[in-house]
Amino acid sequence: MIGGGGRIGKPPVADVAKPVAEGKRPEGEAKPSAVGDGFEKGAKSLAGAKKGEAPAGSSGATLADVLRLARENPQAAAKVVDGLRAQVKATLSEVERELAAARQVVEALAKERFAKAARDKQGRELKKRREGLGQLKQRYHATLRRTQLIEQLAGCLQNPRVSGEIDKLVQQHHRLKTGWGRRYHLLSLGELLFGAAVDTPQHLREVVRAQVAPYSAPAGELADELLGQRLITELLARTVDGTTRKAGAARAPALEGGHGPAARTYAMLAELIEAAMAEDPLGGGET
Amino acid sequence: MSGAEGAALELSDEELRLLWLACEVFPNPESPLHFLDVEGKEPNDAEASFAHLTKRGLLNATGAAAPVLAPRLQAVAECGARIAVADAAGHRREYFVADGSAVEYARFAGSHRFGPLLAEAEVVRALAASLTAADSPASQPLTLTAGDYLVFALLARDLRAPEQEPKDGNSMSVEEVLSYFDEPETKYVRTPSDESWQASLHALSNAGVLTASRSGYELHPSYHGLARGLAAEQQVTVSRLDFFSDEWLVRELNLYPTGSALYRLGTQVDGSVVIQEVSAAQLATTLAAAVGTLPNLLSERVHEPKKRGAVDARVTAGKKR
Repeated sequence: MIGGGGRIGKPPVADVAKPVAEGKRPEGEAKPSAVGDGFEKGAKSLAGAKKGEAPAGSSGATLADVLRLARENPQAAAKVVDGLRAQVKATLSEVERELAAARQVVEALAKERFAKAARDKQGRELKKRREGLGQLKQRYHATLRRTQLIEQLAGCLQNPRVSGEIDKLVQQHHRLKTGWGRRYHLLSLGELLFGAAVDTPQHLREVVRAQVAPYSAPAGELADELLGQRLITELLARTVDGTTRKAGAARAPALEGGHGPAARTYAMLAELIEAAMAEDPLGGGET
Repeated sequence: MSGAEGAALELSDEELRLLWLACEVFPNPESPLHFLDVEGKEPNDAEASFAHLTKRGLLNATGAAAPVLAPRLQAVAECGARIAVADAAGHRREYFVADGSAVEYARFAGSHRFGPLLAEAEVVRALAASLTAADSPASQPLTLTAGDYLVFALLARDLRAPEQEPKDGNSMSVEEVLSYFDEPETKYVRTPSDESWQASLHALSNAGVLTASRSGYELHPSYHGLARGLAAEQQVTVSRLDFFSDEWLVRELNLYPTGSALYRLGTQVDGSVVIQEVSAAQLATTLAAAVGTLPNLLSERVHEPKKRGAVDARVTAGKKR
């Protein structure tokens, strides 16, 4: 994404947050996601697949299994994805059939200009059609998203290390005595936000993966605030312009785990960063 | 694009409820229209909403959403991603993405605005048009360690301070720099020493970021615009959030306009800090990398195994260096 600019200075201080040893790094994929379409079994059948063969029982594998397979045996993973794409296509055909049937009911209502009498008469049928379609669409999107995630990541992006390090980071941070020490500590954390491995392609290197609890509007708003680099970058800017600001809105639900462990991690990190933004480590700045 | 196709469309809550009733809207949980499913409410006056929508040409006589409306509804309702542009003052624009197309959506009290259906490239053009960048960058991109960045910030801060007399330009001596960090830190967390700070000064100087004189160091003139103009309150964040059931992918670009120049600040995978002046020519590419749909990497790995092996070898060699 960025060209030019040689690296200068010493490499980042490595044990500000001690990295997980090579080879012991946690698997990028978290516990298997709860899915409703048959992704239930473990990786054995996938691991035993010969290169290029579709593994037996692949329809029973978890998303994590398939992502691991995509990394180790892309050809076999591609065959799994072909199966998923076929499911997507079949579900879409079903959606189109059901939509056509629902539209016949709607057309009848439209002829009556959605008058109350017509809605009373057709309402139950329409509700049943709509609910059925809603479920089909959910299934369609769930399978499509799973397919797209496998295709886009191909097992080449892990979960960020910050998830496993946050409690230690917070402890370390609270042991620092000076403003400059705290600022230095936070600016050094950038590498923990990402899950890139040695062979992660360039276009994925600054993509952050996060596992969140089932979506809710408050979780979505928090995602914007917490999951990117926004706060650390603001800290970078304030280090130059010398401004400070008070902490933002309270994040109690996220801190208590109400939006899942990833949101809790990032809420804790956000608290540290915002506390640091309340002071100017280089002194004498504006507010 | 015709005038009707290019104009934003506004719908009331009631009109949206009618469209939901008529099986034209099936919102995902991440969609701002999800409230329709949550509430499950039918319109209070379905006949009036039907009449109004058909009169506006947004609903056909059969009760189906018109072609000018249907794709916009579907993109926002069945979105797979959200692109957001936010500034430090809290102003925000959102585009909802489905199948490579995007619709700008905004909700006001009782009203919902749907922009035209845009290709992702058009979204990038719209975003780029809202930002001002110089034709060519005045400074080289920088990749700094955290310690280097603190030294850079110190020198930049000195440039921003009102000039005091007597002073030889804006140079800071090594002792002046070290005085900011002379309070020792705890042994529990490794932090730079005096030698580290001095090494940062030398390295920044060797890289042309600082100029050295007898009295000390100061920022190279090519970075004066950044040093004086950078303001946290001017931060513009462009982000894309891809929804994959319980997994999300986040990409973010943080930009700082300083008059006629535009800078990107951020951290990188190796923990380094990056400062890059983004030129007008680079802006579209930089935005596209942040907000475009990610390519099918699996297909690339399947069809180019030899190339992947070569990339792995290069990366491994780089790491050993």
